[in-house]
Amino acid sequence: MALFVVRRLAASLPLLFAASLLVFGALDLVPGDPAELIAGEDARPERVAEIRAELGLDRPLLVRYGEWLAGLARGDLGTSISRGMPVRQLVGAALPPTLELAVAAYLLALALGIPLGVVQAAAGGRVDGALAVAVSVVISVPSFVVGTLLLWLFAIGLGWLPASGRVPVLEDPVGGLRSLALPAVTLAVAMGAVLARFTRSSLAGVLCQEYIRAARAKGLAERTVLFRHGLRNALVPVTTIAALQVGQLLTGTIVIEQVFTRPGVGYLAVTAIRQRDVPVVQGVVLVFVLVFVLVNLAADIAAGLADPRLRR
Amino acid sequence: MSGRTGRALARDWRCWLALGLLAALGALTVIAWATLPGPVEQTAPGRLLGPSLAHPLGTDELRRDVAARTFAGLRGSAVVLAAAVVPGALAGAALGMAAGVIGRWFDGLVMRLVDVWLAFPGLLLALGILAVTGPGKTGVGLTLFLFMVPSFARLARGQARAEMTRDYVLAARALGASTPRIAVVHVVRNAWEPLATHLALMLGVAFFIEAALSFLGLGVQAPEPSLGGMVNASRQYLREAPFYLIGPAAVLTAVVLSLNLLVDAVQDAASGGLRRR
Repeated sequence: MALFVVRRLAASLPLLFAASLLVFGALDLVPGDPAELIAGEDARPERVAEIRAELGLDRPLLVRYGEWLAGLARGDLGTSISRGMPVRQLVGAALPPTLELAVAAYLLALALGIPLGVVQAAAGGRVDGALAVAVSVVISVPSFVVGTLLLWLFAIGLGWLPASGRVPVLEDPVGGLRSLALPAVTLAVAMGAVLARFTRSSLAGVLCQEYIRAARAKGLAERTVLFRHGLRNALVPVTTIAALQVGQLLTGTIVIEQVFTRPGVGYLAVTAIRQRDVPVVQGVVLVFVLVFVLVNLAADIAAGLADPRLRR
Repeated sequence: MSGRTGRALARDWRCWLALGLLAALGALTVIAWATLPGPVEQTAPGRLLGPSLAHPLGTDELRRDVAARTFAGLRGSAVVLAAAVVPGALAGAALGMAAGVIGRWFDGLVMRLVDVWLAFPGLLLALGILAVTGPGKTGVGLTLFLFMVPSFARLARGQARAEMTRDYVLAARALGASTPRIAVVHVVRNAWEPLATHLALMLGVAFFIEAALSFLGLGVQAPEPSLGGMVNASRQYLREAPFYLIGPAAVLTAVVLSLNLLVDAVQDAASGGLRRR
């Protein structure tokens, strides 16, 4: 098992390396010289050279890449151009709203999607068909359209929930959950629909197996057959999909935060791109990639724990 | 396409509904272009008006026709998809095909690259690229192009490897056909079907990414219309002008829905048309 974990860890290194190259390269590819930008239009060439030396831009690329990596290892993500603050501080402040949203949406999607898929597979026939069509339609509505519709209905029309902003859940549970409700539901709808689809097809496939017939013939209650023998086996592929969806969950927050003006990491990144604040975007992309790699690692390890065959 | 798959498709209502929806959207785009004022003309009698005969979906905050802007936005998306997604798919397929046919170290190198590339979620790639290019169509096009390459490369490579072991390839080789000739003449002809299905699937994903980026204000820039940008603008006026949202939202959903239905129908037809229960 330890060997398996080490091997998975090693396998994620190329991705981290590629991401670091891409992110570092981005700063160099940006048109225009950052030193000239900081010095201003009428600056003397000597002044620009001075700033260039200060930023370390006069040294070779590889040296700068090495120093940048060393900075990363110390947790130094650079300084925001537009706000003059350390990127680490900006990203750190934006992480809690995003994590709250991601966790709430994920739990909601699991709680909605899997039972829906079970109902479909167990009911079959017309109920299954009608729900399948509904799921297809729901998957096809872009998340920002779902969010804007919910905003219109619950925040503007009925006035039940706040339209924007974020209240920390841990400090003010009621206000926090109220500000979290619409974004979390929006993000959960599409993901829940995908999970429902996979649970349905996986469980329907399992229910056709011989051992289910044997369990029924043995006289087991239908509920026992469905949950103990059916769902348990059907959930293995669903777990894989659920883990893969974490990537979509993270990028989904970027769009949802914009819909509900929630000051999270995605909101920070979008604002930074509009202001051409490259260090902030770099920081956000790196943090996202890191979280993404860690979550996938955890999912792989969990799958390895559940199914020893995957450890080979 | 084999005859059986085609017949199964012809019997599937999802296929007809999807093609009908896409045809209707195409027709509406032409009609809107021919009969409505231009998408950036501020000629309507008032701002945020409700639907009327002259302005079927009402007007926006700058006295422009919402229907004209909606269908012009759809046309713009179609142009971006045609310009970025299709070349990206072809480039990916060519890369994968080459890896599968050539094999050895080249195959290994390409596939390791593809693994890393695929691990990057689409919107994250977009953030990285748009940080360099700045908001606008160039960055979006580049993102979509790069987003298409890896999955097509992986699929085409698998197809090519499977085809290369077939007897007819051996026969062609025995007849003296060169490797590039075998790849172009034989492998492509036998391996294109799954690639076409995958293109329909990825078109839906790419359409969503393009719309999401314009919603974020990082894609098509004002005053040029875009479906995502219109949904974003309508958020400000939900109280006074809820109908503003409906046109672009309905068109966005209809496009993704038809592409999804088409993919479902083709996949079911290709797997023998087996529908459980």
